[in-house]
Amino acid sequence: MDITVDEMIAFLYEFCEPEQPILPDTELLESGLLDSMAFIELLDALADRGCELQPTRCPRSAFSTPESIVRLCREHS
Amino acid sequence: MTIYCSGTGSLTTEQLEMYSGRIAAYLQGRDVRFAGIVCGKSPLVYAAIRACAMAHVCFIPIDEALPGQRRSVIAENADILLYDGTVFPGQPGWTDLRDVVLHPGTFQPLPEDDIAPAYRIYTSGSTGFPKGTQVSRGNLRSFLTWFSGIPAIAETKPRSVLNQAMFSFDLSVADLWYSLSTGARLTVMERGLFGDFSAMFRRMSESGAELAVFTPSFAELCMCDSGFCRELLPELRVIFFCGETLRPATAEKLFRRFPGVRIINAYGPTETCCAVTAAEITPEMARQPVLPIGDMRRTAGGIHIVDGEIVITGESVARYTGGVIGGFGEHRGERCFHTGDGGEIRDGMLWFRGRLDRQLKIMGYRIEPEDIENNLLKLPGVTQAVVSVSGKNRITAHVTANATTPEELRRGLSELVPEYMLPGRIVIVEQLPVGGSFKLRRDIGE
Repeated sequence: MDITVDEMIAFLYEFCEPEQPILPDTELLESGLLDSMAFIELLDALADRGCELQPTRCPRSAFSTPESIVRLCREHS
Repeated sequence: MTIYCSGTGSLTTEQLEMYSGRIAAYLQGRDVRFAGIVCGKSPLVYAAIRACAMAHVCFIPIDEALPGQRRSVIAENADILLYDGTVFPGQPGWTDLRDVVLHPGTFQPLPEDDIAPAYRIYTSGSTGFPKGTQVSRGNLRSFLTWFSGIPAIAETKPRSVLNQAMFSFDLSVADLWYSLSTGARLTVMERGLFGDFSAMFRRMSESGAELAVFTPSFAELCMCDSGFCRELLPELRVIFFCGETLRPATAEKLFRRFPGVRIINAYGPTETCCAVTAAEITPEMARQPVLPIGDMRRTAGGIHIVDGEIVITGESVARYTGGVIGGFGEHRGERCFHTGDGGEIRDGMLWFRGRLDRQLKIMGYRIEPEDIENNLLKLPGVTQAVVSVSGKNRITAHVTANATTPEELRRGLSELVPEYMLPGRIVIVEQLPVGGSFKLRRDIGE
C-alpha cells in the first residue's frame, strides 16, 4: 500500500494523542504511545485504506516506529 | 484430568486437591484470616485461592505489577503474604507456596458460613489510596447461583473456561470462581501474552474454551487479527462481557467471526460481587445504537432506579468495604449500594446512562480521577492537578508545577499508581481554573 511517513504520522497524532511531537523514528511501543486503543484504531484506518495487517503475521518490532509501520504496509500491499 | 492451564504449568484435579489441601491446612494451623496472594496466575496461586475458600480465609489478590508503595497499603491488611517463588521474587517475611505444599497437614473442613469473607479486591479510591471491597461467601454464592442460571450458561454448562483478567480485577470472579465452584477447566492468559498475538492465540487455541470471560476492549483488540474466529476457538459457545460498555459494532463483528456464539453483556460494580444483571445480546440488538446491560427478569438481587441512579439491594451487596462506607446505604429498609451509575429500565431491560460522578472506565478498570490527582500532588514541585479524559477515553493530567518535566512526573507517578492509571498525557500549565466546578475542570481537558 502506498502510504507516506507523513501520512502515518498524521494517523498517529490522531490516535495516540501524544504530548511530544512524533518524528519518523519516534519509538512507539516502549513509550506506551501506541497503546491498545491506538493500535486498534490504526489497524482499522489502514484496513480502510486497503492494507489489512494481521498482528499474528507481523513481528511486534514492526510497529516500533512510524517508519517501520510504513515499511510493513509496503510489504503487505 | 487437567483442570488449570497457564504459561507456567498446569494442574490435574488430583494435584489441585493435594496442593490446596496442604495450603488450607497450613492457613488453618496458623489461624490466618486474611491472606494476601502476590498474584501472577501460576498453578500454585490457583491452588492457594482454592485453599483460602476451603479454610474460609479472605483472599486478597495483590497484583505482581503493582508499585511497591501501593502494594504495601494493601498488604497491611493481610496476616500472611503468599507468593509462588517460581514466577516471582519474594521479599523477606513473605511465604513461598513451594515450601507450603511440601508439607502434608490435616485440614478440618468447616461448616458453611455466609458471613465469612471470600475475597477483598482493591480498586482506585478517590482519597489517593486503594479502596478495599470485601465480599462474603454469601455474596459470592449469590453471584454464582445467578451466574449459573443465566440461560446461555445454564443451557451450555461450560466445562472449559478462558480467563483474560488479572485476579485483582473483579471481572475474573466470573471465570475463577465459576471454575473453582464447578470444577470446570480454567485456562488463563498472563499479562506477558497480551503484546504477542501469536502466543496469545496459541493459548486460546489450546484452551478448547466453551466460555470466555472478556472485557469488550480485549475482544476488540483480538479482532484486529482475522485469526480470531471460529477456527481458533471451535468449542466457544458463550462470551461473557463485563467491566465496560460493549458496543453494538463489537457484538455484530463477533457474531460474524463466531457463528452461533451467545453474547452476554453483564453489569455490576465490585461492591456487589462482579455482576448483578446481564442481557443476552441478539444479532438484532447488535444493529441498534445501544445495548442493554440487563434483563430485568433475572437479576442477582433488586435493581432500583432512584433519581436516575442504579441502586442495588439483595444478597450480592457487600457488607463491608475497608474503612470506606461510600455508596452503601438503605433503600426502603434494605441494605443497598448506590452505584453512581445512571440507569433506566425500559422494555424489561436495564440501560446504562453514564456516570453520575467523575469515575472513569479505562480498559475495564475503574479509576477515580481524584486518586491520580492526589498522587500527582505527592510529587515534588506539583501544586495543583486536574485529571480528565479525552474523547478517545485517554487520561490527561493538567498540573501546575515548578522545576519539573512531564517525563519526571510520569516516572514519579509510576511509582505510586498502577500502570493502567498513568495518564497518556501530562501537561504542565501556568494556571488552572481556581475553585473550578466539575464542569469547568472537565472542560480544560477537552
